[in-house]
Amino acid sequence: MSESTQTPTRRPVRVGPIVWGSILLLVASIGGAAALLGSWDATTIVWVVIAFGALIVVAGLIGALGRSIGSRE
Amino acid sequence: MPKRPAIEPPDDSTDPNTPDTPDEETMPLEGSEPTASADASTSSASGKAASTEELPASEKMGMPATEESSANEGASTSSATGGTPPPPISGNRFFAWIRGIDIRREPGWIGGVCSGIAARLGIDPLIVRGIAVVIAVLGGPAILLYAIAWLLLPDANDKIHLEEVFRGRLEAPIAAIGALIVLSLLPVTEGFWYAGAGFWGEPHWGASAGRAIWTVLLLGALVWFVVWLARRGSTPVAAAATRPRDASAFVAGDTTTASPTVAFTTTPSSATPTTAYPPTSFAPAPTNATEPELAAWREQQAQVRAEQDAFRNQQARDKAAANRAAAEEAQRKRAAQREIYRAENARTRSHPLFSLIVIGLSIVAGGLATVSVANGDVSVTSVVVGLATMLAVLAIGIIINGIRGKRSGGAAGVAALVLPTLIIASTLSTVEIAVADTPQITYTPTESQNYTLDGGRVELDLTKVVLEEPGDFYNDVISLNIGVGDVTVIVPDDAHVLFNATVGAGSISTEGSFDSNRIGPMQTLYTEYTPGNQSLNTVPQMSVSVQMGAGNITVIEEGDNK
Repeated sequence: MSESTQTPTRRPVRVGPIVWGSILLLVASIGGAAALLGSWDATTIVWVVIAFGALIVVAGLIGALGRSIGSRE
Repeated sequence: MPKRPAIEPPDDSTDPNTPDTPDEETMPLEGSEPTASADASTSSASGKAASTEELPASEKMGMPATEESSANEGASTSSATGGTPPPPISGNRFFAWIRGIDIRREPGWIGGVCSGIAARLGIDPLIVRGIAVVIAVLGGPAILLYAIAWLLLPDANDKIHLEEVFRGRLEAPIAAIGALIVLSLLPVTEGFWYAGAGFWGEPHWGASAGRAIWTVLLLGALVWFVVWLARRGSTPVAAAATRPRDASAFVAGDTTTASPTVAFTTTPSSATPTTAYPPTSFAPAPTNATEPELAAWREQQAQVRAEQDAFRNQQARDKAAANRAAAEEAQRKRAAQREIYRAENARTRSHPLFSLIVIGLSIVAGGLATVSVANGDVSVTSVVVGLATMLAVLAIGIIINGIRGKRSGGAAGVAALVLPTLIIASTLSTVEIAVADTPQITYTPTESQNYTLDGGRVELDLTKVVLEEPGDFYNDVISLNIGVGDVTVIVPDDAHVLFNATVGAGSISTEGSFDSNRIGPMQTLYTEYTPGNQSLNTVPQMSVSVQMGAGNITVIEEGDNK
């Protein structure tokens, strides 16, 4: 284990919990909103899910790009 | 290359020379067994080398090695098996074999069995424990197998509990093992199936299918185990070290039956390869020898045998020690890896207090949301809002953990419970809302009918059905298949109604004489309505079946409806 990882100061962000938490948040939002606002248009829900998926893809691409740039420097 | 005889030459016809330099490679244990099944491949591999060692030895004695005859081979085969010393106590061999498997219990949660298996496989103990728990929950004999493994597997100091019992030492773990075995025999440990397949809404073939799957799995595991054992090679080295008498068994030919006076007819070329015994060359017994010569010769033979035994035992001990050292080294490496893994695990672990606060907050927030939306009347919708709020709070806690570089923690476990509940409740709520907007459809059949529709609010009024005569073979059968909806069934008071309903996700509630309410996925209800104080033979019978994908089914009785 390297010196830097042993220092308790900074841990790298963990992507897994963030993505899982976001998915849970999305489901909670859809469920809550559907119950509160009455019948939601199913198409709207599908578009929200698509947008969320696209968001994850974009975030992943940005992360991968950032890592490759960082490793080149 | 000279053809090797099918069996070893008897020790009576061997030379008590000084032992050659022992070569481990040329003396595999199995090749030396005095049976007719001596391995041809072994002989072809090492026969030549052995023959070159054998020949000078015979010449040194001044006797050509012509004494070995096929007749003598036959005699020696029977005599060798007949003269083999009694096998060692089977327990010792068994325990040696167990030790040879090289699975050692390690400090763990209970008996260290899962931990030991994990260490042997080089994986995390949690994986093995998880598999064991899943097997136990699915009704597999995990607890019994665990107890047996605890009893039989050696610990880090090579101590086997069962062996200790045989030695008359009863230790504390034996009580725990006994308790586990008794526990494994209780019906509670059937796991998932304790309540019976019917309780879980399983079809009638569920239990037999489960048994078939277990049978296939266990037979497969058995086949794998046998193949694995076979591929491990022959006798485990550790076992060899603990059974010196067994190792010497194959040279213990019976000198009385394999008499040196037997006529030998085999040519030298066919008498060559005693591939298994280079450490000491054997020489044939002197023909036409006097009694003192024979006695001296026998003494020499005994000495050779003793030397061979000592050599073989030493070799087995060396090999076992090397094996043990290698195993310990591997164990150290695995322990170091586990330590790294554990440290990393501890570093990224969510703080328990943080998890506790997040879970508590989520419950409070969910409850408050439910109460505020319900406004005095708790409905499915308000529960959905509460669950959604709860899930959102948990999700935020999980995301915060991720940003801090930690794992999800306890909040994820609670979220895993809340998520399916929310999905089911939300489906119900959505159906409730969607179906409420549709006009109600009322079916009032007068005879057997079968209705099928996609969805909607349906009232199935069975009070207008013209009933058949009591005891008539052809009963009225009314069935309704609906995708999504809200169904109310009104059953007549003057008929014996056999009612069954199934809903994929939703609820089935009955009111009146039989009051019940079931909510959840895959709900099934079978019930009967009988007119009060009347014999079943004197009232007409009717069968009603409602099958629904998602939604609510409510059954009310005619009398209650008015």
